[in-house]
Amino acid sequence: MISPLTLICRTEDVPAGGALQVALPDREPLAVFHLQGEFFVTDDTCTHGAASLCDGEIEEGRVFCPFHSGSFDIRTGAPVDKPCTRALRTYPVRTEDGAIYAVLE
Amino acid sequence: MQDCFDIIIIGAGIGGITAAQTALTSSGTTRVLLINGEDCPPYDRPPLSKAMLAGDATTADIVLLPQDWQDAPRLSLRQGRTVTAIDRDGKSILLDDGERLHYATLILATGCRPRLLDPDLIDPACRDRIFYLRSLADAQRLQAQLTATPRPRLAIVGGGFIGLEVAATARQAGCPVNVLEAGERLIGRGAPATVADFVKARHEEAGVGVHLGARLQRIAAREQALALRLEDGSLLQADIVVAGIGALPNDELARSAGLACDDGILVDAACRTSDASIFAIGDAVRLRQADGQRGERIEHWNAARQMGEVAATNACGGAARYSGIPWVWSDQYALNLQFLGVSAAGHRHIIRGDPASARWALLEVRDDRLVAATLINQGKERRNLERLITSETPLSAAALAALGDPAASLKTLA
Repeated sequence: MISPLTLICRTEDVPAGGALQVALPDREPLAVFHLQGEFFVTDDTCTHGAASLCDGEIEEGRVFCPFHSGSFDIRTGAPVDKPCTRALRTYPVRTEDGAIYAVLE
Repeated sequence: MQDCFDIIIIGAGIGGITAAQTALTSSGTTRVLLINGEDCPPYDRPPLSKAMLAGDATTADIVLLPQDWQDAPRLSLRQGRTVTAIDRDGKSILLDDGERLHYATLILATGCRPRLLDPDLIDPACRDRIFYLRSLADAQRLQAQLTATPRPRLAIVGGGFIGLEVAATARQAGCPVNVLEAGERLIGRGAPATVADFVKARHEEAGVGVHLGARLQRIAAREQALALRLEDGSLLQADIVVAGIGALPNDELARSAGLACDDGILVDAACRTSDASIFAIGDAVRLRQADGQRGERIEHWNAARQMGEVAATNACGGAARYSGIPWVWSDQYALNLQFLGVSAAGHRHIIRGDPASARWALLEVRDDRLVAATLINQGKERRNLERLITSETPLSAAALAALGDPAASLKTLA
């Protein structure tokens, strides 16, 4: 079975080294990260507090939550720094013709 | 030997847990025993006055030690057990059930407990309606009160972080709330007056009665309610009282073992006590100053975490020193407040952003160096500001102008 791809955004909408929050209908917002030419899609809400990770700082492949400075590995969603202890959900990504798609289910 | 460990850690808060994880990862052979005085898995305390109190989080959400860590083969846990004595000569500890355990290194992470209201101020009939907030059990008891029908009226004694976070949570649960602060402004030491006024306005906007210079004289039972009399003669009605008036270090065990203490277990920057085999970290300690001056007690989550790393690194043969600058956060309503560095009167203030927008920062400069910052919903800038403070970088006129311009990046300055 082929997993359905959902259009998330255009590649030019995500600044290099930065993030874009994407709100799709009927689900919690997503975060799209742009690391060295690669794009990653994760949940946007920190697994610890109610902060938007797109509002956090990105350094060395990690995003730091703006509230309490816990961090996640953007590529895997694994928690790195406390107080974050639960993984961030990540989604498989495909880019095609300047568009970013993700498998959300 | 079954009862012999490389490192025994007493206390399973953020400091103790971090020490355990640091020791287990920095050495491939170290055997660690973690003693948790509470009869539940180790949990993180900051959410107790926020998400846990609001009913938005469960105990599973605040677990400090994920299951794969709990199952680590070199980590042993004792839960719901307290240590009654340390035998420094024999390098062993005694548990409340008589079990004796030996250590090569001991790390005390015993934390602190709430300062209690003077019992002479309280009519004994009211005692079961006075609440404190330190443990998970405290939070669960108080949460049950906040969701009762009809909602209880709260009088909160103390306008510090605990009091204000409880005020915000209770107000959002629909409880009428009054905050009584004995000082002339909220938050007290550590917050510039501009920020204290901003926070006060936010609470008043939410309907909290904020009373400054309010000194409690008596809590008496009056019919079904409580009557709080203040020193100026005014009376306030409430159904329950929550007191957040500071904390006392749990240093009794250290004192009875003869370790040097002074309202807190005295440690040097390596987190070592007066016994070279015993470290102490977190809320229970007072840092010795290099010049012999009486140092601070730093009751911050992040300080406990950093000291946990320092003590465990040193226990494993490293040479780490605690050198972080103070950083503390508080969440109230939709405000995320962060305090970096040491705020003091006499600093030059730079406002970055627009306070009316609820996203701004107050930066404090002394001798052309950034020394402190308060961030309101501006956590994104914390790491760059911390680097500027830590590095003590002298700031040019252009750099100072950039600090005041929210469109100017701090990354290039740091």
